[in-house]
Amino acid sequence: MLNLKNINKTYADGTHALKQVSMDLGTGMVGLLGPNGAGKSSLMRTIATIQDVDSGSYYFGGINVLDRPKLLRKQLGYLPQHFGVYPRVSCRDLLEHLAILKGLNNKAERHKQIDELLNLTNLSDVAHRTVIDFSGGMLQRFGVAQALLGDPKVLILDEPTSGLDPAERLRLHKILHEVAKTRVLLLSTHIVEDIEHLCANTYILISGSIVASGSTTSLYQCLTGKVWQGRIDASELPDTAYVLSESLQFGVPICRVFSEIPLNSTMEQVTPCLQDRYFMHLYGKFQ
Amino acid sequence: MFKQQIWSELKLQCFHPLFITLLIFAPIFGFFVGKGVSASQIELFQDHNLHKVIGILNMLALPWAAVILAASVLFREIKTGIAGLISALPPTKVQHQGLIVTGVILSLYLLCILSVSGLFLGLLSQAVALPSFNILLIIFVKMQQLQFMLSVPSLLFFVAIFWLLKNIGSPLIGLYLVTLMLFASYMALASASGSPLMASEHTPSPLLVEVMNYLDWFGLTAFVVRDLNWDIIYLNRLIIAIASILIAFVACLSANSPQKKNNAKLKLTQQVPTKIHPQVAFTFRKVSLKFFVQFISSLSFQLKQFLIHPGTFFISILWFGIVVAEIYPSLNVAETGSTLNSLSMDAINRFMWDLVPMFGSVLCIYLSYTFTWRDQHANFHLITRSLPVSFATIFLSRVILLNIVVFLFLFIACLAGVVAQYLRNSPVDFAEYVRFIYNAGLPLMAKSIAFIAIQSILKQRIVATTICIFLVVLELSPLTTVIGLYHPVFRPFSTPLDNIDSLLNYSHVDSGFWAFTLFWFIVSLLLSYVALLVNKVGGVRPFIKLAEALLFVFLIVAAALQLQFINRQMLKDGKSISIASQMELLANYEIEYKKFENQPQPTIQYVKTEVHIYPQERKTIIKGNYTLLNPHKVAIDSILLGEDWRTPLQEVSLSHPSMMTYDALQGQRIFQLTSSLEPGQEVELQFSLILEQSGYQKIPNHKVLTSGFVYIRGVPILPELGYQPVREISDNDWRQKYGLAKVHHEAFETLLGNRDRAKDIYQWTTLSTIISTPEDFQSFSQGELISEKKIDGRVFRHFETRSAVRRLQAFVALPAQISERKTGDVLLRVAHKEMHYQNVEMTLDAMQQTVEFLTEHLGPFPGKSLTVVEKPDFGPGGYALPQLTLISSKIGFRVDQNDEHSFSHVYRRAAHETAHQWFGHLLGNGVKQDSAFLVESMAKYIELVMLERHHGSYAMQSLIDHETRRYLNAEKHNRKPPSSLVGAENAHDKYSRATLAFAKLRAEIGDDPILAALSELTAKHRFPKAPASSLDFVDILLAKAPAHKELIEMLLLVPVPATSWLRQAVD
Repeated sequence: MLNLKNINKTYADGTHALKQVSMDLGTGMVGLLGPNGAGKSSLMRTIATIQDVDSGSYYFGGINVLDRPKLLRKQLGYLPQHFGVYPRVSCRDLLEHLAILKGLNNKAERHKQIDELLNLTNLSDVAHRTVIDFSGGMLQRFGVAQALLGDPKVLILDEPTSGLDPAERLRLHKILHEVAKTRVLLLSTHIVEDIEHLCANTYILISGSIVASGSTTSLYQCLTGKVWQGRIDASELPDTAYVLSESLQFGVPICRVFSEIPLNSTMEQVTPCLQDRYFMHLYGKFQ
Repeated sequence: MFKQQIWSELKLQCFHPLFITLLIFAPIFGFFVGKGVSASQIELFQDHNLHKVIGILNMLALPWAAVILAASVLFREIKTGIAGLISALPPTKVQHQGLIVTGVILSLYLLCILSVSGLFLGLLSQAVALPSFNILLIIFVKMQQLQFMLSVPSLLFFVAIFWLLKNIGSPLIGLYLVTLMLFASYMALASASGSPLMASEHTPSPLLVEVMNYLDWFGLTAFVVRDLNWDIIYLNRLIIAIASILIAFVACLSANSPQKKNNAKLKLTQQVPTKIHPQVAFTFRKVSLKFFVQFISSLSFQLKQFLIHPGTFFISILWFGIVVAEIYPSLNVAETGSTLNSLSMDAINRFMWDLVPMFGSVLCIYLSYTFTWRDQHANFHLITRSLPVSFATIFLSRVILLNIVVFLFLFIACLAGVVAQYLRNSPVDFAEYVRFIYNAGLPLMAKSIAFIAIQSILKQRIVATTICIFLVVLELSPLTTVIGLYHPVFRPFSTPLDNIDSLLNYSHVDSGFWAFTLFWFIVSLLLSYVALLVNKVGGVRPFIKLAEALLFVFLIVAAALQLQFINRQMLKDGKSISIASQMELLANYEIEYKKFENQPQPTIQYVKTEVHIYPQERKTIIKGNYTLLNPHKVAIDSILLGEDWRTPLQEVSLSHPSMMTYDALQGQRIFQLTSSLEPGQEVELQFSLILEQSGYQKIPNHKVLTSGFVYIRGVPILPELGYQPVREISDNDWRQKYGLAKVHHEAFETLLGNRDRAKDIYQWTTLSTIISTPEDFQSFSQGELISEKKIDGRVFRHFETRSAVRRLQAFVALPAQISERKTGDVLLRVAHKEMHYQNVEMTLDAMQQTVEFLTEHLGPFPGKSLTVVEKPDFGPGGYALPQLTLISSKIGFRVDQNDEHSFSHVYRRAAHETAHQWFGHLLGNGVKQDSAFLVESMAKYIELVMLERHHGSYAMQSLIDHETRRYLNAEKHNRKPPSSLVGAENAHDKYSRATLAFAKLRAEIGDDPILAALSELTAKHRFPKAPASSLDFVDILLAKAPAHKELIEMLLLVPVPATSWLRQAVD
């Protein structure tokens, strides 16, 4: 449905934000994983037609989006990573305004959908309150609600779970899962778990380049039998092994290590996860 | 620690683009002030000129620089959202704010230093020869010292106010509005207190001056007077500094007041229940995009946002209050002592020409910025830009929104006008307010569209806003004149509309208004189209399609054609000549034609003129015939004929064989006579010219061609014979520039005493004039009306003077009612608008009483009819021509006397202008070296006499009191060396001092010697005898009252200001 080929974007300050980025997105939820500053938001803005590209092509169902961006915008729901709102306007009024701009002209239909969205994002009780006074989590839910307004065929959500409490996060996961059944949903995050939970396909973006893509499980299945976890001093590792991540578990330091050969008894073999693959790319270890 | 903190704060402020812009702008502005406030070469670096230019610089620039910088710095933490972060740092809020404020003051002072440096360079650019380096250094240091003394307390004052406003919760715009109020109030106070910086002629209240001496926040009231009292100046600066500290103290106390917004957010977050509602089914809904629905939604949403903004209500109330405050006190005031029977147009005139353009422009700048960048400010732009809404829809909604706001702004002004009128019992004409809305609104509308377009074209907000501000500065400041750009198009969005006139309403400039408005709309449309192209989404190449390029070119061509049309129309007013070109022409005239000064030239014996006036076409065709006579004892071989540069003659012919050469640039024709013009021989000169007026520029004082009023003065339009010394440049700075010999400005008495009396000559002629006008027009010129006939819907009136009169022809036509009265064989007439009859009887009384008095004492009136014509309000209030006087409608016909004075200005002015028939047009002309004493000062004497005779001594004393106040105020700022009354050049000497001198003289010696002297003077010098000079009158007066020689000399001849003998009288 969405096809990007060799997209490049360099900002005025010389930052080469996107380098030869190519993506094929079909119906379903696709994760975009990358560290801070990798260019995720730049890519999301590009896909949302908010910024121009220097080179490359971008098609939506055969339509050249770079030439006719409005055709995509008609069917787009976009949640930016950071956004504010106008002062002195209630949540319902702002949704109403955005709904009209999105083409929801039928008043009854519009009100019905807004009510549903408010309920879906658990904002019904504060719908009459000014959005500018919302907490971070409430604002994020408002952002999701506005992105879902109308009938968007493409949803671009940049860090949608940022600032949500665990319950709201799970609730949102559920919504997104339902939505993605019939639409393209690109989910950008640096929270690997979100992608693992939600996305059948994943792109890993590092320093403006797509370094890995494919079905989420296939990305880390190749690591099966090569990931070890336990307590170990990094200096004791053989040359062929390296630390993927260091974390604490109940206050005890734990290492996840990549090694093609078995390590000592303190290290047990574990099932690989997307995060392992991600860290391998991040540290430039993936061959 | 503090040093590091302040250094860090200064770095933060100084690297801000706004400050960098101000750094560049400050010396440039200073330079233009230094260059623009002209002074003679002698005065250029004198203390009083330095005081004046530094005062102007501070008054104009300091408040705005202060508010721009303070608003940016004081609100930066709120705008950037780091207020919370800053509040968690160790310094207390007051300490932190104190640091910021100190930084602002230091930054502003740096701007002051730079602007004064620019000012210094501006002064240097005026200097023809520079003083030595050491002197320049001393002047520069002195200017910086003066600036330090003046600016620091003022800076403290403004910054303290802004600090307080910020801490009491004022929005950012509040700072700008308070600045605007302080700026406007200062202008009003400076004007009311008679500041020379405001070129005011008001007689200020002594109490106001005293208060301003101490409380003037710029310290200029005491700083620009002639007799400086440094104690007062220092005390003023100290008072302002202490007041600033007190305001800053209150600001500190307010710093810790709770922040409403933060609390609201906290409250909401606490109140939000944690319950989670059961999820209901959610379905997507089909959408269909409709431009109109999106547009209406955008517009209504933004309008609602604007209307519910607390600042909107605050500003609306403030604007309403400002307009009422502007109108109410002065609505019924025409001049001190006169109450105007005000109409809606008078109320509108109070605010339409300064407040509306100034506030309206600020509104357009601020709201075009706010509306354009609103989404970015709210950080909502990423969401809105992803919506399927075209830029055209967004742009249009912003444009319409701003225009709705402009309409509301004008509507509030109208509402305030109506309220003020109601409070003053003035009849309200709603149609006038409707006219105001479109006349003031259309240029503002074009401006608002252009500003929105500029904000949309440029991605750098500061650059876009700076351009908008610059356009407003060009429009509203004298900058264009200072830099020599005279074409009206250099004043963006301006139109030739001027004060609504009592007689003409807007009709005199109506055509120009529509032409310029159309031009500005095309320009705005062009900018809007560029904005649409620049913001076109999509990466289609090429950037601009052929059709788009064609439309762009079409708009440019439309603008160019409209501009060309305007230029063509403006040519009707005559050639446009800048001051510099005019000076060059004058210099070249003197160089090339001075040789004719001593060559005998014929005199004009008889003038026949046909004047065909077409008011609707704003056109007049003049055909003239001069009968020239050689009055000399020698033959004349060549005749020099000069025309007006701006309106060249169409046809010229001489009934004598000759070869003519024409210098088109100078408008000079030399007729080289084939056979000489023998002594006593006459020759006919015929000429014609066409006068038109476009209504596209300001109407000149002596050429008014409108559909409702026509007035043409013969000088300088009709041709003149011989070399005209009046065209010589008198200013030595200009003369030096063009290589002309310096003129030695001798004392008046010496100049007059040493003159070549043979050159004293009356320019008197018998006049015969036929004026044709449409049937509904009255027409007037010098002479009796000897015939009147109607042909083809036009009326032809023939006027003829039975004997010679001063050749200062004028032709007047207007639809009017004529009220008349006869005194002796003189017909007195007043031509006035039918409704404006209230002062006609008083005017006729003044005319009759003055004519009778002067006829009795000086001899008969030189003519058979005297007509006063009600003229439009622009130009001088009263102007006397031979047998014809023009008095403006507002001050002569629409006013009543009030309780402030015991005399009527209407009566006084009518008597004054009538007196000019003797003093000015009988005596007081023909001696080119003479001053205006025999003209203006004697007319002031007649005012005193007539008031006392016909309205009592109380009325006369009231006039003396009035003139005393005016004189003392003007004299306080007068820096010219004292002169005798007979040689006076200053207006306050010629008028006010003359009143005081004659009052004293009358009190001491009575009227008899004065009238006897005048009688003798007239008898000795009346045409065709040799013209009289002022000194001839003094000589005769001394002879008539030898016992009062000392007094007469003190009052009339001794070059001391009247304050010396006024003080003696008080003592």
